[in-house]
Amino acid sequence: MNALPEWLTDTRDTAALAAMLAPASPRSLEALAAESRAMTLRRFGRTMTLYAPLYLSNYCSSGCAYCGFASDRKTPRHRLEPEEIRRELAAMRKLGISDVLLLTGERTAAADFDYLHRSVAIAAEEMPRVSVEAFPMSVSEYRRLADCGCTGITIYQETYNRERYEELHRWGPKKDFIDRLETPARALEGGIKSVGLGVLLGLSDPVEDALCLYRHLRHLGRTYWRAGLSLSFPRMRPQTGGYEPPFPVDDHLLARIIFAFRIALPDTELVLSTRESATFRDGMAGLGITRMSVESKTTVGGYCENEEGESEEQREKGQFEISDDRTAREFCAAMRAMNIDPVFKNWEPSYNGASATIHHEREADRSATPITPEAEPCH
Amino acid sequence: MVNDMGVGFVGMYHGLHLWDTTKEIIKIMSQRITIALNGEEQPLPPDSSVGDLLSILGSDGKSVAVVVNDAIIRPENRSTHQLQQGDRVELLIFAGGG
Amino acid sequence: MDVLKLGSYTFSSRLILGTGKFSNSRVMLEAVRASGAQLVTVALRRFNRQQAEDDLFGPLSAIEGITLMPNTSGASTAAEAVRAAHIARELSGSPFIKVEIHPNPQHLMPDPIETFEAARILAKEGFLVMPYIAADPVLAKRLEEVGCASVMPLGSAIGSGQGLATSEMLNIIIRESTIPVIVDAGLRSPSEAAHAMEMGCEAVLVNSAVAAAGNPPVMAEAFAEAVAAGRKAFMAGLMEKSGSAVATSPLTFLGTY
Ligand code: SF4
Repeated sequence: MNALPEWLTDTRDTAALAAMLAPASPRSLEALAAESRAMTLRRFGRTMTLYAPLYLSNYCSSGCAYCGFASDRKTPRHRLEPEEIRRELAAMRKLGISDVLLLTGERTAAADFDYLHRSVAIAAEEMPRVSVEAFPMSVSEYRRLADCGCTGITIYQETYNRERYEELHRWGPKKDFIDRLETPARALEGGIKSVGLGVLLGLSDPVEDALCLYRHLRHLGRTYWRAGLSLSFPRMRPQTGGYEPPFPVDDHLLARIIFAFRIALPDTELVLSTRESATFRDGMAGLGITRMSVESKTTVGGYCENEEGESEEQREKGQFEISDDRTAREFCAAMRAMNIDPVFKNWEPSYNGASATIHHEREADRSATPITPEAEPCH
Repeated sequence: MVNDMGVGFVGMYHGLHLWDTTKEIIKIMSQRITIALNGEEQPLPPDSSVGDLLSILGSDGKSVAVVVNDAIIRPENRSTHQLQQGDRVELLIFAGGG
Repeated sequence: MDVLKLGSYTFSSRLILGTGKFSNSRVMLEAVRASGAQLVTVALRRFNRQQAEDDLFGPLSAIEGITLMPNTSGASTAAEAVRAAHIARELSGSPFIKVEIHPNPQHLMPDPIETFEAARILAKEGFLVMPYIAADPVLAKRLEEVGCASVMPLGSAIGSGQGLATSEMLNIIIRESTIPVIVDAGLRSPSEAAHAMEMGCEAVLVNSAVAAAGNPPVMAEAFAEAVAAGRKAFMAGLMEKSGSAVATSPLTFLGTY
């Protein structure tokens, strides 16, 4: 078994964060909230950037104990074909969404890299900003995604506790802890402009996982200093497998984690999805969270049906159940009522394309006047 | 090798007729070369090496870097590297700096 | 053992001393000894027959445990700095080079573009490049990328004694850097040096503050002690500041789950 990298185990970086997260922290939740709110306001103003997920496929070859798409679940499988993708995206555009997160399960023959690549290319024609949450890829695959318009990759470690990780990931490619740990770096190496990291709260000791998540993010930030970084704090939600999280995280602890991360990382985008209730999300807006999903569907596709008003009993189960089921319009109204501007478009497609990576040497044209170390012998 | 101009001439020509001596001196003087040393003119006997120049200046050469026409002359080559008329010679040392 | 690592070199002292601006070389050498510095900077000067005592190579080399770090002061372009570095290495036998390029002789602010270019070339040639730069976080990362051994942002303008006027930027540089950050220039008092070390600088470079002190050797010692204390404090981990923001509205939206 490969040893854990030093950046993951070195606790010096996280001393301040650990102090804020400690159960016996002298700083009250209200005090942390006030500081977090002040920092969020200074750095991000009164704005909330919005995105929505689009599940391209629910085929999966992995057996994650906590997931409704795990390959042993009975849920029907299918994938969106190009025309369906276009229709879904058009329906999303009608809701105002212009920032889409495309999702698939682990690599399968039905939804492999070529399928994902084609789908990204289609989405990039329809949406100003396209990011992907799928399977770990190679640097050259990430490069190809970046070249066809993917600007962000979301990849959660789920838990940084290696023993728990091995138990939960019962089979499939996702079982490889180290490979997953190294995936965000490969994405940035391949020219993807931003990565989103996260842990699935509930799987393991949440404070330990939060500290590792912070170290992972800081390691990436130092190494890939041009990268955009964001963090999510998804809590386990009910799903078809019926998995009961052994480390449930209550609202108070989740709030403390979000405030502490905002204080420790004033510039980092903090994301909260529709997994959380409308009450919790509205409460967190302005206090630390700067990016949210809206009107999400966690089934494959799902936006068209909604548009056509066919929302009868759903044919299939989503990856997990959402909690905040307000429409985009309702959500935006709630934000505006709190004096927060919901931002649908925060990106211009002409910025798409791979990021600058380390400048490679251009030899002849830039060297200084050479000075020979030794004179030619005279005569 | 000529190590020290003044003493050398007197020693070498001791005992010759004064006129002959003078003629010799004029002849040698006219053969001298001029280099640019740290930007200033410096006359040298012909066939002087970098090592000769350092001796003339009273330096043991240990803590001096020598650059002739933009090329660094390493210590082991200083005795064989001959200076030519018009050479630009820079002698550099370490001084105080922050 | 907590040591300063630069390339394959390690130093137990985190005070780097400059040797310029002293009233005479005897006082300078005394200050170097008193400081315990293991890296000292020197500058290239033209040899002058009349002032043979200017030559510091012999006397500095005679102090045990000293590694010389020549600078490229006087250079105003990358090409000049590269030339100076080659000559300096010939003389010092040390791979360290402090790249210092200031086109304006009044304020002596470093030229970021020429500095980057010189650093890129010299790092590739195997020098341990220590670039003196403005406190610019992006430039610091660019220099790290081309293989510099450290970055040396200024605390404030050379010789200004304004201390850590750039601390806002220094904090970002330190946070983001994977190579040692060394504050160079602007420090006036040992407490400022200690502060820089508490912030997470790996070393400080001091010259004027010692050279122009009332008693340079004693001031050198004071800086050495302050640097060591600041480093210790950083390693120990400072106590958390108490949150200054006052709690406002209660967080009524939180349920208990
Ligand atoms: S979490 Fe992802 S990889 Fe795991 S089973 Fe679900 S879809 Fe597959």
